[in-house]
Amino acid sequence: MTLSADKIATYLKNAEKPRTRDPLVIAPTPDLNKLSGSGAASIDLRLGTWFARLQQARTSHIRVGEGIAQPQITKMSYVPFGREYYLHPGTFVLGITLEWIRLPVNLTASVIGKSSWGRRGLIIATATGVHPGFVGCLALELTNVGEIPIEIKPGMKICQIFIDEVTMTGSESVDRSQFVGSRKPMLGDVKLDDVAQKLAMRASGFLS
Amino acid sequence: MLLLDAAISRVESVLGTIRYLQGSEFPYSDSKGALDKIEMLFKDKLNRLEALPPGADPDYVKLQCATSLNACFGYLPLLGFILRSTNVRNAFELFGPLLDISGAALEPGVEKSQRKTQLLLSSEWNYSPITYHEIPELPRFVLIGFPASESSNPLLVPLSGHELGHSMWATKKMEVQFRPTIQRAIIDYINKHWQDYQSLFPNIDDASKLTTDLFARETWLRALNWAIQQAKESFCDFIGIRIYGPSFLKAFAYLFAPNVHSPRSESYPQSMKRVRNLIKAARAYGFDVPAAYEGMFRPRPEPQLAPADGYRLRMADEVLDNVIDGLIAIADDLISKTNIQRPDPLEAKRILKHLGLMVPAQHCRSLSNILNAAWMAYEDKNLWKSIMEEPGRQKERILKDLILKNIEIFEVEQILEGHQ
Repeated sequence: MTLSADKIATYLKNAEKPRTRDPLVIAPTPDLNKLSGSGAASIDLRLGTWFARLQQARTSHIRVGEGIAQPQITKMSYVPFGREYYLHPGTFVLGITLEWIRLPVNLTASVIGKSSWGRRGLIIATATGVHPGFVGCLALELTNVGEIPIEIKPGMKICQIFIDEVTMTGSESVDRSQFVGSRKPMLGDVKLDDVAQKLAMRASGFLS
Repeated sequence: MLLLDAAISRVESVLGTIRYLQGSEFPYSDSKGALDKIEMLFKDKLNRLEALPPGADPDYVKLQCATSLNACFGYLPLLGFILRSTNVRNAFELFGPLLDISGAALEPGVEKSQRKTQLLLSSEWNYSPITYHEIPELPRFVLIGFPASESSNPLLVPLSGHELGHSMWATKKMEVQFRPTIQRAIIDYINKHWQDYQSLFPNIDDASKLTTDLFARETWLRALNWAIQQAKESFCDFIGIRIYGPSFLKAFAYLFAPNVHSPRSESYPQSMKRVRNLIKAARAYGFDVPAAYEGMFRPRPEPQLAPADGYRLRMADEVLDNVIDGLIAIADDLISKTNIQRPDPLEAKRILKHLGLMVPAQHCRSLSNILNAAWMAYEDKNLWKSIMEEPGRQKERILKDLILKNIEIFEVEQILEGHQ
């Protein structure tokens, strides 16, 4: 069930209580009074200061399963508050939320672009699911699909997250090592799992 | 090859390099501003060289060429430092809070928006934080450089307090204040060890002329300069401790313990004495000293010096002891007169609770409290064991990111408060 903004605000307020062991945290915390009265079912997140773009001139293509280190195929940029980043038509850049987020084991979230940006050609995110137990900043895949360059600024509202409760069985525990984010946008690994590896070998004739 | 042609060519090459660097992606305008100032300097050098008439006095031409050559030698490493200030390896989140502390320390009582202090935050290819002190073209700049391999490690930020100390030493004219005391101590030392002195300098036979006779002055001037340098480095350490508390001691040990094999520099106190002085200052300021701190270090060998220089160094080392208490007190006094918050162990513990949940703390009162909490988290072997199966493998990366995010949130809150 998707949490109302009211309910999100209650979760965030509870996080400040000393005995809360597995809190929902969004830092910097938005204005909880405004959030409570908003009537919305989501919470806006802001654009952070780090960006990563793929180095087209140095990368022929990206192959699944190749362990290419991120610094070899991406160029990182830092844009301080008060400065801007220009996203030209057709370009793709990884951004990051300003907020550091911590989801407890009983909550999951979805990241959705803001329609006001979408109508101007800025698509915010495609990989939108955030698992219970996630900790860190959320990477944003920013693409300008419009025809006019778009100026974006760290600190501006860039996306929203909807938070849902997970149906609990009572024995939930999360090993956060799988779901720890970072303060900078990271590519992450794209590896072939066991099944995909076996299928790939079959196609190459190694398996009969 | 004509001397003047080569000099002009060298200066033009530096100007070309500056223009190239001006195209870099500067996250903060201070670096670009520094570059523009250095460009002005070299343009002036070029104009002077080009204005020399064909029949100019050869000695005057040589002087101008030498001056421009000095500038090339002096400023090229600085240009590299400025270039490295654009490297995304750096933790740019530190810029705002460090500029704030620098401005508060150097311009106490001046509104934040009115301060003129600027900051170059960069990295160094020397394994020690380094600054280029007292650069005439950049009088209001504080330069802070972390070792390149550690430039995104927020745990080392407290060491920037030492670098800030250098700027404070210059702007507060501390040398003028301490030089007479140190000189008196030098003369007292010579009088106390007159036989040793005479065996090394038999031509000086009148102790009453130690300060007036030029030849006599020459015998101890180097010792005076070493003692002043040691006093300056000690003062810088004390500024770092006073601003950052125990986290300074921990960062210092992280970077330098147990000490390298090479001989100590004459410009720094003896390695173990320096550590003991750090402990003394921390206790004087009421901060906890990490357990078995002194035991983490071992002495660096003494440099191989000629007998006279050996005597001078022993003199400088002993004379330093006479001013340590005064330096500790004045560092305390200078920081107390600023709005830099004193490290607060209770606030650090509050922040640590948040870090233990793997989230940044909000509404922090100072950068130092965040860093003291960060060090406690770093040292906690059980940190995150209840929420991660093997935190050890990822702990450092996550913690560094978390601390830098905490510092960024601290800055965001400060910006928003400033607009209320």
